Amino acid sequence: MSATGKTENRIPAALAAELCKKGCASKYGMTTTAFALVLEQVAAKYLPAAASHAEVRELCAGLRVEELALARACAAGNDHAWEVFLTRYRATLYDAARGIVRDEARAKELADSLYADLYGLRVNGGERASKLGSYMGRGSLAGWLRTVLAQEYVNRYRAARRLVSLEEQTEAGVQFAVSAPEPSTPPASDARLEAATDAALAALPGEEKYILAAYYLDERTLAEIARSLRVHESTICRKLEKTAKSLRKTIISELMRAGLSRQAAEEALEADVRDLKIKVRERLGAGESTPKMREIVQKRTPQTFHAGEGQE
Amino acid sequence: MAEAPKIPQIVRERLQQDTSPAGVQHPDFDLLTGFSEGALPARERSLVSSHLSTCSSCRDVLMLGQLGAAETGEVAKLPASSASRWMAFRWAALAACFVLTVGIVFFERSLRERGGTATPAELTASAPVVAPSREEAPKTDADRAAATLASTDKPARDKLAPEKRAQTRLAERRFAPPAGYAGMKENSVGRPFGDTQNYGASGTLGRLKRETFPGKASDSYSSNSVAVGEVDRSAQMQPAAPPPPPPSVALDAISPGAAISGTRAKSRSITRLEARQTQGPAQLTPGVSATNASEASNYADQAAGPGLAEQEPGKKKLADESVPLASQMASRRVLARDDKTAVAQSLAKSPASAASNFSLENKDQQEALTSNSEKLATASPTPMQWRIRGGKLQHSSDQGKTWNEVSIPPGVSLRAFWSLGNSAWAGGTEGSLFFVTEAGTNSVRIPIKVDDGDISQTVVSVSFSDEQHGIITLENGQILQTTDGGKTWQRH
Repeated sequence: MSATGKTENRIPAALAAELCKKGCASKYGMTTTAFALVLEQVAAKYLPAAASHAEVRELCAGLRVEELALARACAAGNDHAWEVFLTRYRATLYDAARGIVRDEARAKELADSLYADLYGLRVNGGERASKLGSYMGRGSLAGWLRTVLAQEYVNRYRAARRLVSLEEQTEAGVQFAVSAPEPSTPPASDARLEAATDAALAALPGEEKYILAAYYLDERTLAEIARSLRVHESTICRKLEKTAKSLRKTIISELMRAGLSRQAAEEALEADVRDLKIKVRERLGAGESTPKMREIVQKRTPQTFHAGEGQE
Repeated sequence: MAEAPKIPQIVRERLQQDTSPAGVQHPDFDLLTGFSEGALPARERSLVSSHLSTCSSCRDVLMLGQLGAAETGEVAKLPASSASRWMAFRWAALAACFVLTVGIVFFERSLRERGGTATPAELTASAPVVAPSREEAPKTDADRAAATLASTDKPARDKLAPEKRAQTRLAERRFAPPAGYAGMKENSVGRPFGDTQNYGASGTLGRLKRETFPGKASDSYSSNSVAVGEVDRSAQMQPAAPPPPPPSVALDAISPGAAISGTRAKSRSITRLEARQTQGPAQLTPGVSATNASEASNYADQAAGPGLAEQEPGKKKLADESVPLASQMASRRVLARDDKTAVAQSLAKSPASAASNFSLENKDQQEALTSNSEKLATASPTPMQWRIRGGKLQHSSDQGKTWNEVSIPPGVSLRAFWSLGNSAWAGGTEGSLFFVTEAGTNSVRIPIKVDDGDISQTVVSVSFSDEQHGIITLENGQILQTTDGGKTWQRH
């Protein structure tokens, strides 16, 4: 916005006209001016105020203008655009819902509910509010629909969990279930170790952190992560290995910087109380008499083993 | 896939603490979609991935969206990783090495079959010449068979000093055409042959000639010239050879005997001209203009280079003595004629040695031979002419004015024949081989039986030195030889 409150045109008229023609906006009853306004919205959302012409062009070049025109024409209520939309995306939407929900009936329900949002049954201030009006053309319309569908599913799932009645919980035998052991107060870990770990994680690039989180926290498979990043599964595997190694190295070097010797730093990382707790629990649960456990016990150094027992 | 490395528990916990920060603005659907489709620029991609690393909710949405994509079959095509690219390259390199190795092995094998081990220099000199090709494959086999047939002359070659033998081989490879080349050179005035069946037979003759007349070629002319050069050396090195029988000269013969009998020739066509000159004034067949004849003569004159000396009669005899089979077979070889054009007739002193042997069904070949024969038309009528038309054997006793079809069983398509004057051998599909006698009135099918049963492959080339001795080439490149008029056949 300029000081006068008037929107500045960041998209050159020629470029807007070209994109309008490329997107066949006129086919859906959109004028060049209307499409230029859409483009301005996109630019305002994704570009900083001081964006250069090159950045504007780069953004416009990556836009799915044809799908953008279709979505915006649908949002505006163009019948022809709706026909095209339904022809192209109806089956896609149902299939995507089925892929997400894994249940035919619920998938249909999910997709139908989204149709209502897409068509804009809700009225905001006397105007029909279509969800398609928020599509900006940064990715494919089919992908955008899947993402919207996934978000809708997550919202429904969360809402449903909150709405589970006591009767249902009783039927499910929740009250008889052995309650999970209350996690004891996290043992006081070495502050230096925490600081070193935080520093090492902060130094990681966003993508590597995402891979770590998706793999170790969400327990996603390598294939799933690879698909989300559009790389090969083996690439993720290599990156994971590399990241884990570099993380360990960075933490050790941070600990050494904090005054620990190398051996002490390695021991601090290896003999972290949380690790020991889990190992001891595994050992107790499985029984020491089994050959596998004996093997594990033999492999562990006496020092670590005793320390673990002590902590437990 | 290898198991992913384990990370310390503290790292896991700190990652968990990072997750789901409150009050953070989530990327919109467009950005998430663009991220999963790889459509975002690096800056935005980095921002989104940073957010994803701390926001489990967005990670869930992203992963669920991927599940939907998998269901709709819109899974993104992954770019080939560097590892897979390297794998592909590695396999390609391996395949290239294999091909190279096999090529070298075959090349060396073919060299050995030609006689002796080649020196690196020979290999270099001959590499482009003998490079195997698909079209030449049958030729090579025929060559091999012919070389075997002519093995009776190998001792003479073996008598040469080792260095002379090496020179001979080198000369052969330098000047002699590769397998298949001899057949192409036969109509050097026109276009080269394109028919495999003719390749086989002509290659046989070319090989016979080369194998039979070892010697160092002194010029860079074509295969026929090489043959002459070889004869020179051969004759000089074997002064004690017994006198040969009088050479039979065929108009189109590519045999050394034919070359020797006339002036030196640059090509087979020229050999024919020279043969005609030797025999006497040219007799133009009907339809051949005088212009053509004079052109042919001019060509012959040009071909006889200043460095090419006349053959001495004694040498010629020696050479003929050393190659009885080859010269007999080659001297009978005459190019086919076309219906529309004048025919180049074979010039033979004995009826048995003058015969036409190849009939060409391929139009290109016919055209090539037409132009050739128009230039090189000669006279001297032959008692019987043979040709194959539409898979049938035809004979003519009036210089090609009228053709009579030889009766053969229906369903058999003939491909090649070899004439012995008034009789002929003809082979074709389904392992058919016929011996036609009594001027084409009587044809007998000769079963081709080898040790492991009857032959059913198409016969693509037939060569006989007489009614008892001959070789045939099958479509699979196999060579069979008979020494008893086709009663028994031996593989080569």
